Amino acid sequence: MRTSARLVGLLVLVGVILIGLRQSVSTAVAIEFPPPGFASALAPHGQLFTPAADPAVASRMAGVSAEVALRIAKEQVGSARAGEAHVYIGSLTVENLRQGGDDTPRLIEDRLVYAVQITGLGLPPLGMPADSSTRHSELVIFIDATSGEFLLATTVR
Amino acid sequence: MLQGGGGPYEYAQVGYVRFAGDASARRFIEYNDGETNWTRTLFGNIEPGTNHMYLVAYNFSTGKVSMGADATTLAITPFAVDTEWQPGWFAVYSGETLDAGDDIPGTAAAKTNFTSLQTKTCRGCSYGDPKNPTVISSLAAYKFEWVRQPTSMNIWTAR
Repeated sequence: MRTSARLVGLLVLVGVILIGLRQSVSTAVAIEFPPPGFASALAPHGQLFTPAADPAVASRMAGVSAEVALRIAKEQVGSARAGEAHVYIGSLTVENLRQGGDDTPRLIEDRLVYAVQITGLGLPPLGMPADSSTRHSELVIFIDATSGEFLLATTVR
Repeated sequence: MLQGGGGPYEYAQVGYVRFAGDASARRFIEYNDGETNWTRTLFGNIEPGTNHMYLVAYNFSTGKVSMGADATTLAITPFAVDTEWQPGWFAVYSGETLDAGDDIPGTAAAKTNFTSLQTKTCRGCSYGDPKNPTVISSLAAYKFEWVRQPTSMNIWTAR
């Protein structure tokens, strides 16, 4: 009788662990390697993103998980929630974001970041006449991978 | 905003914006080379009820335009505007919307106040009062009043 009770308890414990594992797997966010053209689309605007050679290794150096970064990105830019999200990790330098003029320090330099790419959008320019040819389909949101701070977000055609 | 003379797609602007679904207003820059190649970058949140200084400045050496807020440079156009835009540039200070159902910032009880409106019209010039400013409102609900013409004004939405 006592053995049966232990067996039932063990089965319940195993069941709980399996359910927990299943839930953690179902909510995991995969860190991808960005597609060709991702970084080059941002470079003209002074946002120099260098993807990590090994996203798994880079993510272990981060202070926040990809799941948290994605949640922050979607909270910060709620207007872009409708799109499909991809998460990358790498180093970001923003050339023209400075404390003052050209000779002042950059505010973001060699920063480990998550880049959250939201696709499938139709973003018009602000206050301007917009047909389908002028709308942008993507928003790239940079989240500091150490602190989880929202840094900036840029539209991409 | 600095607007080029060749139509609505020639501009560089800085300010703050709140889109539907966003938790709060945030700083932004946006520029356009006149060929519908525009880019917008969003930055951190703006604390409600706080004052900020915005500057759009043409660089006479590079031909590019910088956009800044509170003495921080936020962005610089990747192109020289004097080769991309048509002559006849002018300054615009505005609250704008995409849709008539949207609101410009401010309410009758808490108007959005612009102060120290200034322009610089030549390389050797100093910043001074805007000359002969034109007031345009596209909708009756979008309100405007001079506080002290031409350097200070209020805008708000009243529906």
